[in-house]
Amino acid sequence: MVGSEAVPPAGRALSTTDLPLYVQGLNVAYGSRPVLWNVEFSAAAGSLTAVVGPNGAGKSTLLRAVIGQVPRLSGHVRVFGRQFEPGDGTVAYVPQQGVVDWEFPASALDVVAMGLYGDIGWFRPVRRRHRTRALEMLDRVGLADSAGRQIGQLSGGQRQRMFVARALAQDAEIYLLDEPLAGVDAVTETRIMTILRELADAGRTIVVVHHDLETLQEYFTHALLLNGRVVEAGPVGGVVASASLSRTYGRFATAGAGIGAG
Amino acid sequence: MEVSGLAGLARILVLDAGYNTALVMAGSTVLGVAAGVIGCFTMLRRRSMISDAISHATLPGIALAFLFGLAVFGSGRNIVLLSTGAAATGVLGILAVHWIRERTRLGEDAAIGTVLSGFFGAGVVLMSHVQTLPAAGQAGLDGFLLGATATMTADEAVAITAAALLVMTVTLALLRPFAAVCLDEQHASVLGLGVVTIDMVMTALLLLVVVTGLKTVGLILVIALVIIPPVTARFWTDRLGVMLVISGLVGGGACYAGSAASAFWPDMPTGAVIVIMAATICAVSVAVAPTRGVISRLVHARRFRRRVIFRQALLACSRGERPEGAARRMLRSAGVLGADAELTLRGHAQAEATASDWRLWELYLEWYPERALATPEWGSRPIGEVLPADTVAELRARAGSE
Repeated sequence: MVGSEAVPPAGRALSTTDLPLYVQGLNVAYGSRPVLWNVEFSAAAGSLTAVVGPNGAGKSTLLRAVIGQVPRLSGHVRVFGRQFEPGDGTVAYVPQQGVVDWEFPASALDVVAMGLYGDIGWFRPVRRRHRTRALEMLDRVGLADSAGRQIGQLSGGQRQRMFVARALAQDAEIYLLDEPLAGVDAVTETRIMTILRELADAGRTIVVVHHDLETLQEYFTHALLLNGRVVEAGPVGGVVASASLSRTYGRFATAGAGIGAG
Repeated sequence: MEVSGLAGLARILVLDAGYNTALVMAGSTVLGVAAGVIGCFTMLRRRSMISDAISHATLPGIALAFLFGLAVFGSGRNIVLLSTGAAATGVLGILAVHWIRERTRLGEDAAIGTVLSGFFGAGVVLMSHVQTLPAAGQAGLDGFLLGATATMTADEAVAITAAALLVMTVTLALLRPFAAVCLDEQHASVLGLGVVTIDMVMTALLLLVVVTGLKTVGLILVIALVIIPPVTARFWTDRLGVMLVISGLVGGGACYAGSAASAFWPDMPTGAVIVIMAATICAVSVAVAPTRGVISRLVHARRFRRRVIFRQALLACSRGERPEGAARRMLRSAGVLGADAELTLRGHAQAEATASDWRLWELYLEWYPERALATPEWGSRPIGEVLPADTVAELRARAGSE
């Protein structure tokens, strides 16, 4: 669509904040349907943020706008105070399941090793130490036994863990995950959340599109309530205690369901 | 008949340059219309590329039919014989694509590419053998590769016209079943339409057009006749009926102009001229078509973006902020901000009005999030311009009670 760099977002001066992730005045539309309206959002090092909201709220779009996969109408994304550059290794992204060709002739290990391509470079060979590292990552997500299997033969939960392992191999500062827990088994869910918490504890910044309000407080430190625009953002306790959840998901839908009371 | 100069070209164009030329041009034009019409359905069924496999698979058939005719009748030059051979290996090509698609894990693109090149390779070998025969010279077989209407006989033109008319008649008669299958296969089969049979008829019509078009456009470019006209038509309309008409006109027009050019410059490869005509019409359509054209989309996207930025700038003003950069310039030129960077009287009123309008949008998002988020242009226009009056009234009532 249209380039956005010439026009700063309405209403705010540019900030030079050095936060790991800072999104300012972000507007995204599909055709003439707005998806993200003037979104302002930041994530600190060591935070584990859930992006929640109803269908069509722009949760996936927010992540994809951060990594430059969807064009912005206007607004800025700053990664450690700089313009995001694809390929600089600071951001790892785990897409929603099902966007991969499962017939692709590759093993789980091959896919995880692709997370290392940034280190290896496009034209140098994949060496033993790279394979060893990829295997370590698979082991960390509990998939070491399936390293040699063609990706189509993995179960849903295993596939998701493989993608987490690929992101881990990237050793990024910021991890963006789009519904990593959708349709996975309980073992996978626990394992993925443990890994994400460890990453956050190590000072990384994690942003996860999440759909289960029940586990919101248990899993995350922060929450971003999204409904086209930001309804509320902050530490998860305060967000859940406020009335904002019902203003995000629809006041009819949540009336009497106790979500707002959380 | 001698044709030269502008007067000659004019006589060609009004079909007054001899019986043969007129017949060839009429036949080509009808063929173009038929290709444009059946092409709409192949495109909507996402089967356009199969026509390229068909056309390339006809080459060995043409060569074999020629050799057969030479051996049995002493001559291979017979349009019906050659077309039958072409259709026979064309069918084999379709079956091969179908088999690869169903029996292997390869996608249709890989299947088509494999079949297309395999059959074409076989055809080229057979053709180069045919070229060594003394009888090959007058046969005009090269015309099948790139199309040559200038060497077409009256009989051939009549055969092409008849086949093209048949395709058009059957397509128009089966308009509804075709449309039903293209739109929703499952629903069509619930209605009792045999989806497999309808697909077969559609493919047979496509095959007929391709085989008929070999002599006019040539097998390498005949795919253009069934793809470019529907693609062009799609830029102008959202209705199937209109699309069929436009597609037919584009196909017919391109073939008419191409065969006229070929009559005027007999050495010109007709197929290439026809395709250039069609592609030019298509390129112009892509650029200038209303709504779907590139220019229209760019203008629309730019307007939409400015509207969003302007509204958000107004909302920022209503919160007491003062936008910078382009947003500020926009506010200045709209008279919202004065020279002193403060709100003008009118600007103040406009900011207040936008803020209370935005409050209604927020309520809509809060009460009916999924509906609101699916609404085109939500938030970017005054709510009364987008939502029905009763919904706006309900939101106003909610705003009042808070």
